Amino acid sequence: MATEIRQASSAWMYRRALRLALNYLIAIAIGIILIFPLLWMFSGALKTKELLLEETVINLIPPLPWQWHNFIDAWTALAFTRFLFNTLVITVASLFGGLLTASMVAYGFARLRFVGRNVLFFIVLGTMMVPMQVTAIPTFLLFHRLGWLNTYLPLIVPMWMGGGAFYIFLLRQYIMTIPTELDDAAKIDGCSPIGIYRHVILPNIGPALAAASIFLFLHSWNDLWGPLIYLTDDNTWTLARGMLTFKRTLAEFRHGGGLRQYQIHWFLSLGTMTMLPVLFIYLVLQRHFVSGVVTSGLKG
Amino acid sequence: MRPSRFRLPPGEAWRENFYGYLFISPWILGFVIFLAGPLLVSLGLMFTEYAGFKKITYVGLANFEELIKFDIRFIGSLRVSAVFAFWTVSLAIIISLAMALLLNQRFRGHTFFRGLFYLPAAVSGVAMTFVWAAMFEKDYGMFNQILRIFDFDRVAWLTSIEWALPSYIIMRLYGVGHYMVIMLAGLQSIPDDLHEAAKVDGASGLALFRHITLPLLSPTIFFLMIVGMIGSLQVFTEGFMLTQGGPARSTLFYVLYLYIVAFTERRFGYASVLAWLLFLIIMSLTLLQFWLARRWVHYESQEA
Repeated sequence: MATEIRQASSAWMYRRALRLALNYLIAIAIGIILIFPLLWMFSGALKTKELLLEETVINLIPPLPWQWHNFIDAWTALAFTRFLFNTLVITVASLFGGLLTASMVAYGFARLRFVGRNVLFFIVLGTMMVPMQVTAIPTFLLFHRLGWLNTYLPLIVPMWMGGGAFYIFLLRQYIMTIPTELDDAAKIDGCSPIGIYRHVILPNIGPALAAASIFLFLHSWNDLWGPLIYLTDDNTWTLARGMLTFKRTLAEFRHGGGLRQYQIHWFLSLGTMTMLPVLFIYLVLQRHFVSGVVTSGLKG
Repeated sequence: MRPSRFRLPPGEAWRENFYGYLFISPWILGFVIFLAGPLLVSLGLMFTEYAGFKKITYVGLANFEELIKFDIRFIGSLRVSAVFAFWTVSLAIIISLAMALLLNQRFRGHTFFRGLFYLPAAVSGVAMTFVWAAMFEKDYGMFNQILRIFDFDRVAWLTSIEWALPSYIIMRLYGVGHYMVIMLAGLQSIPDDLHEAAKVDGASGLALFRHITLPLLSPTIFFLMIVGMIGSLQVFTEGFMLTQGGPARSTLFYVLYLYIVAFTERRFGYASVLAWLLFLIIMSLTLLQFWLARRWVHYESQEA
């Protein structure tokens, strides 16, 4: 009897171990597939152009000497320092404006009982259905009239008006989880809603703000549509906009000057450099990232 | 009947109204200036010919006539976007479900793998698109290097009519981690005791998945379908950067075509028609999904 149980349990444990090993094997395989393109990029960025153009076999270890100057060459081929500066100004200003106004609006919708609140919040959600391309032309004409083309303003000012329905929704959901007793206590102490927003709500929505700031950052950092339409003067270009022209110049080169003119090593080193800040922020804030996706995703 | 609400004293009610509208005023401003206003203007622009800066001509229904009768590029772009959206969303849902089921096993290190699987979705963007261009190169790109290992012929990924669109689908699927994270959260919201109860009743793994996991996960899948479809109908950056619609318009995505009409050809009137049509398509798809969902989506509360 006892041996029977022991045999049964060892068979069970054996199956369990097998299953665990299989889980790891599949997970590692998927991980390798997903990380492989990034490794290919990193390693390619350190190779010479000649090598890259002749390589037909996968080789993730660049031969010595590693071509670190690819990074400098690609960076100085166009005014990328200027583009980086523009990108940072636009990103920081929109991030700040988006966080400030989205949290204000979210607080209003989550806590204050004003006439028409439900209808207006329904409209907020409805605006998520409107593709930005529908409003693009009139908005372009508006910014043209205002003389804002080729300034940072078209990319920043709209973010100071609630930042977008997605962020309002994300933050409202989070504010709803804060106990209202905290508000009431502050109210009894004589706080106005402005005081409650500053002293009760803001200090308590850190994780949601972190999640929102990641998405806001990625949005501004990667945006191509806006810079393409509003910024025609290369003094105001962002990194994304600058890289695009870089690629085009190369394509034109390619038609005129043949394949050898094609600067594939610069592609890879520029790609690496533009990706590094994103990668860094992701690794630092990963937890908030995932929770942000989940909150915004599930409650929808 | 709405449940009776707690009534505030008059002074208090005024105060709440005042502060409420004060706090949401940025959104109201943005809504009027950047959404409602432009929507109305582009509604009007549909009946005009307008190149931007000088004169604007009323053309009646000519733009609509052109759209229906003469525009081959429009029909083509609609087809390209539909095919792209269909394959991207269905493949992404299947793959992300498999990945989420794997990570839901909660083995040691599953959070590490979750972070790893999401990483590509985080780094996607202009920089990554740039790198895709190199990876899809015919002579020395990563994909053809891999094919060579298995002795397959080279594929002209972005430069052949039959492979260009599938290349974009592969690109999109690289960001499948985004779907996975949401799918995983959906799985984790399924109470464990349901599985336990079914196991006690002798249900096999497959039956468990089919009769418990899948029905309870259907709201999540449904949500991902809507969001994924709307997102992939609006794809622009990759197409604009890599192929600009070619070869032979096989990757002329709808929004890419819209951009070309509006900002390259400067036909704001006609582009407004295209934009409004996109809006209507997205809206009706969303409504259709909601309607279909009533038939097969299981919501917890309906059972009670």
